[in-house]
Amino acid sequence: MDTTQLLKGVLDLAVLAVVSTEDGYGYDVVRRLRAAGLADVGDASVYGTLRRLYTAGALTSYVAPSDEGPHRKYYGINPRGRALLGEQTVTWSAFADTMQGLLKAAATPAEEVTR
Amino acid sequence: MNVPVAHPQVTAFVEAVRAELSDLTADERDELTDGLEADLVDALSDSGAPPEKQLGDPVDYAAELRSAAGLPPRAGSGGERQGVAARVRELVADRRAVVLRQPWWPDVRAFLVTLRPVWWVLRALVAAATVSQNFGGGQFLLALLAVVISVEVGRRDLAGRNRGWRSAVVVGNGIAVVMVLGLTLWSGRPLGVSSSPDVSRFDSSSINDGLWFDGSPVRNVYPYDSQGRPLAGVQLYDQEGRPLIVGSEGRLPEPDAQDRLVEPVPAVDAAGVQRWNVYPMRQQVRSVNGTDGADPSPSTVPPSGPSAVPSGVLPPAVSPSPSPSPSPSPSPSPSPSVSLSPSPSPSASGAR
Repeated sequence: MDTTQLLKGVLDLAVLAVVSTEDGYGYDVVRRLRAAGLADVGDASVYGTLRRLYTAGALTSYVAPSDEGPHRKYYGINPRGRALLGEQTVTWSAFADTMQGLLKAAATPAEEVTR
Repeated sequence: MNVPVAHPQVTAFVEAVRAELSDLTADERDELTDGLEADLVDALSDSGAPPEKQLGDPVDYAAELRSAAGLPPRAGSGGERQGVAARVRELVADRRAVVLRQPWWPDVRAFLVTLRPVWWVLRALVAAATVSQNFGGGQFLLALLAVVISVEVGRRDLAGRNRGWRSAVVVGNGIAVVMVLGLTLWSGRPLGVSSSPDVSRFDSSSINDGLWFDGSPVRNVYPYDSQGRPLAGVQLYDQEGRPLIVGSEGRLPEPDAQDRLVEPVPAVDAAGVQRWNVYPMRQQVRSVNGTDGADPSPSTVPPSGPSAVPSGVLPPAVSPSPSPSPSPSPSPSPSPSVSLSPSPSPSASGAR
């Protein structure tokens, strides 16, 4: 299954989750997402998502000079972002449970047939 | 030690991305691309891949940024690289696709394909006519030659097989279409009804001159009043104020049933001007066998009234009357007096 399609639906949640642990600049968020296992995540998608969440009022943003070159734009979560993270976590958990139940139900009869 | 300057390729890439976002507001664009350089430099040093491969296409990159940021795709969807010509092509392709989807299209197409030989002949005739008009020459041979060439070019589908032929045929067809349209308009004008008065039709030299009724020329007009009394010296004009003239001034009329030439004689007004639209028109009869024959001196005969048979000027015993009066009794008047009084001015429009 194409994980990029799946990612599109949950990228907001993933980015919120990453930023909620610690403020981060664009590529830093990408790196942490990939480290967490979302290897297929595109950096432009993450930057766009950060910008959209910022516009929606879920993130704060500030520019900091970097040690080694151009300045960096950091994003941090704010109360609104935390509320959003909470809502989306509930939604995702329910969805994931539903999917898991569905798949389990689909797998069980198949096993019986093969026996 | 790190160089505090961004990678030049990254700088160029970011510039290209910003150009792709040029339709956004400055704020939106800045928010999307602020810090992008630093991020990309980081990504480059992380991956170790060559910059071209790591950075990819700025257009795609910008599109991904947009869609993730919830911004609409760039107008025209193809970005800045799409020119006017490409848009026109796209539009034409759209319209074409709409036509091709129609249920009637296969039939129409088959019909047009069947008509192709007609077009081959038509374009050949137009080409031959154009050439012979401009350069003279044997029209028939030229037309034959042109038809053979044109049909062969079409039949062998030379345009479909050879690029050189294709451009020649496209150009030739275009010229032929223009010529056909031009010929249709040009030749259709004298035949069609023109709403505005056409001055050229006053010319006596025109073959269409004169009055025609039911396909045959009118040689004379015999006016009667509502009581059936014959009128003399009546000037007639059409709706444009043009004098109604039978036959053509100076043109020899057709011989009548008795093999006589009946020539109209114009009335002459006080100013000495010949008036050809005064009716009934006096006529001069000559024998068709030659002026030096039986009747060398032409006799001027006053019109005596319409005859049932188109025998010209002989007064019939009982002449039919166009008016519903019981007996019109058109007595042979000696000579029609030319009325010069109220004559509608030829320029007066709407004179009836």
